[in-house]
Amino acid sequence: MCGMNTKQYNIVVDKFADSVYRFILSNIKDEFLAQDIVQDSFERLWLNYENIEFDKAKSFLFKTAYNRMIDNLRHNKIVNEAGKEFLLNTNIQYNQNEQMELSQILNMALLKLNETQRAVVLLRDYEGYTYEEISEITGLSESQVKVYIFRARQNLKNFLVNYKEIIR
Amino acid sequence: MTKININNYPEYWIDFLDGKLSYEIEQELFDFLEKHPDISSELCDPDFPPIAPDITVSYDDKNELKSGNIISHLIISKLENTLDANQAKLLEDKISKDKNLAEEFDLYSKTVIKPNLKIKYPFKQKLKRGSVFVKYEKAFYAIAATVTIILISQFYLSYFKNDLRNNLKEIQTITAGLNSVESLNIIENTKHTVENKKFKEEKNEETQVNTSEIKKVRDVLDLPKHDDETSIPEKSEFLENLALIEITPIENRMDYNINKFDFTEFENSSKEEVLFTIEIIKTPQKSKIKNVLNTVEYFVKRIDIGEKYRNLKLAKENLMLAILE
Repeated sequence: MCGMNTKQYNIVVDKFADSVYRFILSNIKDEFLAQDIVQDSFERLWLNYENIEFDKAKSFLFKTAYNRMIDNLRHNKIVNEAGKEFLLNTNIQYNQNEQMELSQILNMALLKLNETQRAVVLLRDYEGYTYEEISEITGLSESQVKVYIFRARQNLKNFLVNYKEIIR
Repeated sequence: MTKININNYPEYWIDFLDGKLSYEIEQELFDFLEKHPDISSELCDPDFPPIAPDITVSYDDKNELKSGNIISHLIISKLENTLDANQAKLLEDKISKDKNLAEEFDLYSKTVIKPNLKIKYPFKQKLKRGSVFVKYEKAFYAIAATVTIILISQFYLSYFKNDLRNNLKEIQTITAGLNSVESLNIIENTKHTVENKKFKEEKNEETQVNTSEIKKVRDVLDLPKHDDETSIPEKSEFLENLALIEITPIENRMDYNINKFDFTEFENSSKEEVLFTIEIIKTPQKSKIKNVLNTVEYFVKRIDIGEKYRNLKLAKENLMLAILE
C-alpha cells in the first residue's frame, strides 16, 4: 500500500475541505461545529496520511466527518435545536417576503428528515457517491442505503407538495 | 461406499428430481429406496417435500408495492439512474401520457439537492501541513523581504561608492507584471521616483530618466496588443499582462541574471489565481528578454501564488521604501 506524501495531503485539503464542510454544515446547520468537525477530520487524516492512499483520502475524510457528526448528533441532539431555529428563521423570512426559493424549501425539508436519511441523500446529491461508497462511509448495507435514499426522496417530495405553487 | 443414508436421503431425492445426480449416485439412491420401502412410499406422496409455509413471515411493505408507491419507486430509480434503458423508456412513455404522473415526476426531480458552492471552508490554509515554507509562509516572506532589502541596499551602496556610473551604457528595465494595475502602478511610480532621486543625489541631475522614451515591450517582442492601454483586466492572465511590460531606458546598468532557481521556493504554492509580480533588470538583448519571459511564464503556469501575492507585494513595497530612504 502506498500512502500519501505531504504535497498530496495538501492537495486533498484544497480539493475536499470545502465539500466536507458543506456536507457537514448542511447536516447540522452549525458553522462552528461544522468547522470543528472538518478540522478534526483533517487532523485524523494527517495523522494517518502515510498509510492512506491518495485515491482513498476523500472517502476517509467523509467517513471520519460523518462519524464525528453522528457522535455529536447523538450526544448533543444539536440538530433539533439548530433545526428548529433554522426553520423558525426561514419561516419568518417566508412570511416577510412571501416568496421562497426551492433551495430554501429543500433546506427546510432536509431538517424534517432523520439524520441517516439526510446524510445519505446529501452524500448522494452533493458528492455523487455510489450506493457502495455511501455504504462504506456510513457503515450501512447497500440495501439500507437504497431504502434510506428512497425514503428521503419520498419525504422531500411530500414536503415540496405543500409549496407546489411557490416552486412551480 | 454408500453415501446415502436415513439422514440425507431427501437432499439426494431433490437432486434426483432436479436431474442433478450422476448415474452411479442415482443407482445408489434407488438401492437405498428399495431397502427402505417406507421412505420410498413417502417420497412418492405428491405433497413431498413436507415443508409447511411459515405463515408468520409476511411482507410488511405491501403498500409500497401498490400502484402509487410503485410509481414513486420507478421515478426515484430513474432519478438515481438505476433503471435499465427499457424500464426508463416505458416510464417516460407513461409520464408523457399522464399529466399527474408528469407533475409527480417534476416534484421528485426537485428533490435532487444541489450544493451551495458559495459555502467554503474558511480556514483551508491552516489545514495544510508539511514543509516549513507552507507552514510558516508569512514568516518566510517577512524574512525573504528583509534579506532582499538588505542585499539590494548593499548593492546600491557599493554601486554608487565605486562611481561606476560613467562607464555604464544604456540599459532597459523590464517590469513584468502578472497581476493588477495596482501593483504595476506601484512599480512604475516608485521606480521613476527612485531613479530621479538617485540621480539628483549624484549631482547636477545629469542623468535624468527619459520617461518619454518608454516603449511597450510588445513592440519589441511582437506580443499581442492590449485593447486599452490604460486599463488592466480585473483578473488578468499572464499573457495578457505581458503586453503591459515596459522597457524604460535609463543611463545606468544593472545586470541581473534570472534563472529557474529563483522560483523554486514557490514550487509548493497552490493554484487558484495567478497573482505574482516580478521586476527584472536585464540587458536589452531581445533573445535574453524572451528567455526571461519564458522562464517566468513557465513558472507561473505551474504554480499558484494565491494569497501569497499580498506578501510579495508587501515585500516589494518595503523594498521600494527602503531604497527611497
